[in-house]
Amino acid sequence: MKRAIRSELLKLRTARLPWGLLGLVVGLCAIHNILFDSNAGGTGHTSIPSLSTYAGQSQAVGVPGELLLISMVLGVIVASGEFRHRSATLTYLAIPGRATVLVAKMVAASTLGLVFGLVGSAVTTIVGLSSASSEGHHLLLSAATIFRFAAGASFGSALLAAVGVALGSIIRSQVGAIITVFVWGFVIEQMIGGVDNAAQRYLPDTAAAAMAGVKLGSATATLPFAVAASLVATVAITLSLVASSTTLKSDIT
Amino acid sequence: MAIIEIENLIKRFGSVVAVDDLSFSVSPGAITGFLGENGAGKTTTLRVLLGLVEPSHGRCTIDGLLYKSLADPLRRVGALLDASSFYPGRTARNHLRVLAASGDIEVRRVDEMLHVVGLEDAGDRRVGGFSLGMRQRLGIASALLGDPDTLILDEPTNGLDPDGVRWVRDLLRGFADEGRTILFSSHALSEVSQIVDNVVILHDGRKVADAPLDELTKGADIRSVIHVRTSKVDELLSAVLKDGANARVVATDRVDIVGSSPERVAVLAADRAIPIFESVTEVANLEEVFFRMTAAKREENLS
Repeated sequence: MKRAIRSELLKLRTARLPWGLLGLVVGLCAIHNILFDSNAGGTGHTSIPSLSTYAGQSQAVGVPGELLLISMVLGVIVASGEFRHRSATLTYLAIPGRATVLVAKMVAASTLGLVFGLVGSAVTTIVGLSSASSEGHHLLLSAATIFRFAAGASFGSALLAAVGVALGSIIRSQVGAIITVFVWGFVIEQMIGGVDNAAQRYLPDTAAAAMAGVKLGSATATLPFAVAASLVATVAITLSLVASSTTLKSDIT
Repeated sequence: MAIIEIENLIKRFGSVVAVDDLSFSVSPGAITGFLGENGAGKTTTLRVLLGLVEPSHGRCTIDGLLYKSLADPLRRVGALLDASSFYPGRTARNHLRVLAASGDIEVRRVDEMLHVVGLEDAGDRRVGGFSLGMRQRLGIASALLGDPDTLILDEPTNGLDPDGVRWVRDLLRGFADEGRTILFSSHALSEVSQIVDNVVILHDGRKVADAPLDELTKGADIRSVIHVRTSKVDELLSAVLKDGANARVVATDRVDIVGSSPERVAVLAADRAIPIFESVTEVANLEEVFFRMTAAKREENLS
């Protein structure tokens, strides 16, 4: 298992796409929160609280929940990329145990997902605190709170990356799997939230966002950190079991 | 003792039978060519052997074990299956580093193998920009990375220039001379005939031949053709037919004879005062063997 994980981490380090996705996380977190901060508390934007408030500062330093989906996309690419580029042949020649490879990919993608969350949190924290400071507001968030948001975003991001690996193992078409991620995050979870506000918090992307201290869409309340983490981890494990018993057993032709 | 054993292998894809009750074995110290037309079932057989495809029936082992049961597969078996199975954005060196990490192989082997396959100057180039020949060399480097005792190569000379083909030939011969086991598939028969010691021929998923190359080309059913030029074609034809050989007139001054020898034809002609102006013996080669055997199988299937 150790060599499988080492190999998967090296694959990530030596490919360009993960670094491109990390750049996307940095760029989108910065743009999203700069736009958010510049509209906070303004007239006509009553849904965005002022940066002088605890709620406003919490949102200003939080990683936008939708961007956690990028980690899931990373996981999808890690898994389905092997089939897209037909490199699965060499991967399974080196490590014939397919479950071993799946777990190694989940660990590797989660590690990079953790980095995505940390970097995203660093960007949003710098942007949020700079905006609050430049407008002359006192900092109402404690260091512990900011750390909790960053840790939540990182763990949430890591778990979603693992979910992505499992999903990309089930849906081997990379484009199909990526579309599924965005349709799930932006359409299905929001639709379910629209129909039943209370149910949305039990959905994986919303739960991962809750770990980062962010409330998504129409969700009335967020799940506690441990419950949200357990829920997303359960989704990752369930999907990986489905992948192991279906597509991962199929022939590599 | 055979290293590779294919026993009663059957592989079906839906209603299509890709490999039909195939059995053969491969021994060390020799190069075994696995031949067949495109779609004959060669690649499927190799993929079953390497644990990538599940057999519908039968068993394929290396050193008595299923591939997935080998403790250090990259150190035991080097395989080249598909020269395009690389992540295009990764450099050749990094590709081999990843593989080395998977197989717990010393990193120094990466540069050694790049040197062996002649890619030392291209090691830091992304594989996506490689020609087919360069990818094939990288694939061979991947197969050799773990310094394995068994090589399983699917069409290793595809895309290689004549120098590259000769290089593969010399490489495989060197490996065989070291007592290693080599099984490689190809449909390029003229190239194969210069490399292999033993031949397994596959047609429509079924084995039609399994023998040393010499034995095959000298086999009773695969005979050399003697092209004879004479002014008395009818007399010569009659003489050789009476002698039990097969012959036919192919031109006003030429007879093709199968199933005899140039010496016997000369004696028959001398006894009857038939002048012979030219006698050329075309030795049956692997290509000839292959086409005759697959044609015979095709006819057998039609009847």
